Amino acid sequence: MIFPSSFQAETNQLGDANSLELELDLDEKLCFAPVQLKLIGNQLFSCKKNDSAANNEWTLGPDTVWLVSYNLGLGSLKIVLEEGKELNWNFTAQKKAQVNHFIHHCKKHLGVKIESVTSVCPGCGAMISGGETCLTCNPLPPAKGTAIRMLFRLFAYSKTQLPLIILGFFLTLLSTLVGLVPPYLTMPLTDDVLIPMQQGELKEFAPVYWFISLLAIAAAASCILEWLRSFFSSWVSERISSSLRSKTYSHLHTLSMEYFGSKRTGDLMSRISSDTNQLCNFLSSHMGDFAADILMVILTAVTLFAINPMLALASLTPFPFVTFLVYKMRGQLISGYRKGSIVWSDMTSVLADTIPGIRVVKAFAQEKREIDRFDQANTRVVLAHDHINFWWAIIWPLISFTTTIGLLIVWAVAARQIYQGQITVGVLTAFLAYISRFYSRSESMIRFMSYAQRASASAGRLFEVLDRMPSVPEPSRPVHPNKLDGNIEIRDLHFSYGSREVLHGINLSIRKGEMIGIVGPSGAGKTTLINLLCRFFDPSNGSIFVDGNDIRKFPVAEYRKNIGIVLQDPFLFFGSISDNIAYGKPNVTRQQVIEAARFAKAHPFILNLPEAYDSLVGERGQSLSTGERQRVSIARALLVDPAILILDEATSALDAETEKELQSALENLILGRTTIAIAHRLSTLRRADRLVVMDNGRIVEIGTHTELLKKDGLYTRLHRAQQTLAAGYTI
Amino acid sequence: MNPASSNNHLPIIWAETDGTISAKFNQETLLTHLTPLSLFPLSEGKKNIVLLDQNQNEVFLIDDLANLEPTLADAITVALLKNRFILKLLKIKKVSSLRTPSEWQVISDRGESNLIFVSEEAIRRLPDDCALIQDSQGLRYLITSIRGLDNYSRKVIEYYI
Repeated sequence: MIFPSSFQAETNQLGDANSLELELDLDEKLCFAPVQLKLIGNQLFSCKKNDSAANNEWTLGPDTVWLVSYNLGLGSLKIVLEEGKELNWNFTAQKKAQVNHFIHHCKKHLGVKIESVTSVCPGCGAMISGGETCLTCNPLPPAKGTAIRMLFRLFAYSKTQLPLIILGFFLTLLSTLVGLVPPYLTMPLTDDVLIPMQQGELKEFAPVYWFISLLAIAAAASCILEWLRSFFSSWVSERISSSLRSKTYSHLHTLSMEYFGSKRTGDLMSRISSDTNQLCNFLSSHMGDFAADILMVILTAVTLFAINPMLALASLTPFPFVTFLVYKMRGQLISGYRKGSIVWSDMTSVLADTIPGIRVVKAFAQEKREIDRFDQANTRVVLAHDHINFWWAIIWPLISFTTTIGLLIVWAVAARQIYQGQITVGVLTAFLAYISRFYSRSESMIRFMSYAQRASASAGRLFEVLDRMPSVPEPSRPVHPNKLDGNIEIRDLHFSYGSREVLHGINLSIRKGEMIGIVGPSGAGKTTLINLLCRFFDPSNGSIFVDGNDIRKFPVAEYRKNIGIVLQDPFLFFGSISDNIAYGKPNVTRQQVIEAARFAKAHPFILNLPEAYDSLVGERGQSLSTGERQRVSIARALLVDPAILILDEATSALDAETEKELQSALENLILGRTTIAIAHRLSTLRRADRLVVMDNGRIVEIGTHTELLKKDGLYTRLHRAQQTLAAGYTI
Repeated sequence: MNPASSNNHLPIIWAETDGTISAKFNQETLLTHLTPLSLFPLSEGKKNIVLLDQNQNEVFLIDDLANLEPTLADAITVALLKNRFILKLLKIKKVSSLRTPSEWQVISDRGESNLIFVSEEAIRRLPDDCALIQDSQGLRYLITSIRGLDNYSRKVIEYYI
């Protein structure tokens, strides 16, 4: 950073102890250029690099207002001076931490009282309880290594199988050694038996039987060893990939709702199913083959040199060319396979997208459009595979051509040596047998490279899931909630989806056992507030205290056990009704399930189902109406006996009559619990002790129904609008 | 022409000296500090621009910025940018790794910067050979023509989409 000289001199005089500085990265035209802010005493200086004319200074004081806001990655800092003048600077959100830090210290410096916080995240300045890292700005982890390193990481998942892996390796070694025997036997067979026989020197036939039976034994032994080897290696790899699948799936469950929101279901499914399968194939057959190939190539090379170094050298001549070719196509294959798996998951995503939405597709007669969309994705798969196949097709003939050349060289060198009487025909026969193995093994090693690339791409996609830090982290020093009372205190709660802030400072305290109704127009932040309370997300700023503890201090699962939720569209899993009711507490007795169902008024309709409590529901199961499913989900919440109950539009999908019937079920549920209910229909909130009216991410009014009506604010308008609607219906 | 101005009188819109936008309806209703918002920020940023009042209510729809007088159009363009900050990515100089997360050195229409590329979901293919990248902080970079990029940049982009 180059300072204009005058500016530099000034700062130097005052020294660092008294000055604070901040470098922003955008200028007033929003172009990337460093802009320096400096506070010296109570003077604020601003200067642009290489532009001393742009030097400015203002006097700040304790009453100066500091405002920071973010809009899609663009931050703006607004300083309102005491005389009312507004100063504006812009910066990218990457500077968030520095800006927060600067403001914090400037305020301190200017004598502004700062409310004491337990700790401030070094990343973004959000308040967090001590000792925990901030969730919104986990620092960038170092980029993970290369393809080979990716495969090495796989072995971390195979530690438990280590003895079997070693056993497999020994079997490989043995079967390779046995495989080397037959060509070696052809040498004496040719030189000591066949040629003397041809020349009439050998009169008996018995040695031939000897050699043939030895060859047969070697073949049988190699068959058995090969069988054992591949059995063991697939046994091991099946276990490794299964443990990888389970690990990935269980890791998925630690990730927040935010993650699932941003991922496509089809993509996640293909990572867990087809990528692990890819790895399993790789580990079971290709990995073992490769080990065998390496051993075979090394041992064959050793044998070749032992028999005749000159010939061995001749047979190795094609190798440099092959290595060069392989090196050349490596990059093409890496990107090809990666692309292949991306387009493949694009294709499965189309399926995952349209099959659940099939009603909409049919209703709007868009089958053809969806088929076209699938065909497009399908074509992209074909194109991606064509790309890979092209490279394979081109490389293969080239490799066989070079190896044939190698073979010809061996023939020529050997013929010359036989002519000169240096070697026998038997040696040549054995040599040719070895060389054909040698070449075929090295070809299969090259194939392995492609499998390895593909497996590494799959491993990469899996590790991408496994490396994702849970954004709702478990506390390092947990406070165990056990059974909570349900006193809730929300302090200055902010939340942003990406960089769009949807909650701007919510403050609310709720007594134990109180019922709070949250109303407000769509998009007011009601559901976000609930999500934060359930800790599906963590706030970007501020905190929620339950029974005096920040909820981030509780282990997530233990905390959520104290919360019951009834959602607008109750989700039932495939299984029996009683399993669904007991979902949150699987160990309850049947009596408890029935009791919960009775309280939730679900008992009567369950009785009428063909298999009563054993009836299958959910996908592929008995279809229940929304009202019936809602009653099942109320029973589910009742059984958990939560301290905090959340009703998110629990009755809004129901007709008025069903809602009325459900009301008594709900009342049983609400009794004695801290309840937070979101509802569009204000009539459903009659029982609420207080109503909280939200608008644009803020609480605008709090009070009882009558109090709010007197205020003649947003609530009154909502109420009036609904009454007009209701009146309209009756006409 | 526009449902917000139910009567057929067009409002008078002008840019204040501090860059804010004001409008006057029917010679009497004065609205200040209007925020412009592009309805199709990615596909057609200069057309269909809505002016919002401070309560985020739509007050007027501008069909095309080109029909406005230049000073007003400029003020609106600047304000639009502050509202929906989208950089046009011109070149990728270097990426730290193809595995995510990685750090990219890029050149955009607003100069040189570094972005942190979190994962392959951060890049989205748009119609007409366009793509949109969102960095770890939500800053967005638009590529208006993938084929028009230089070799290296195009390879990086095509690696992810």
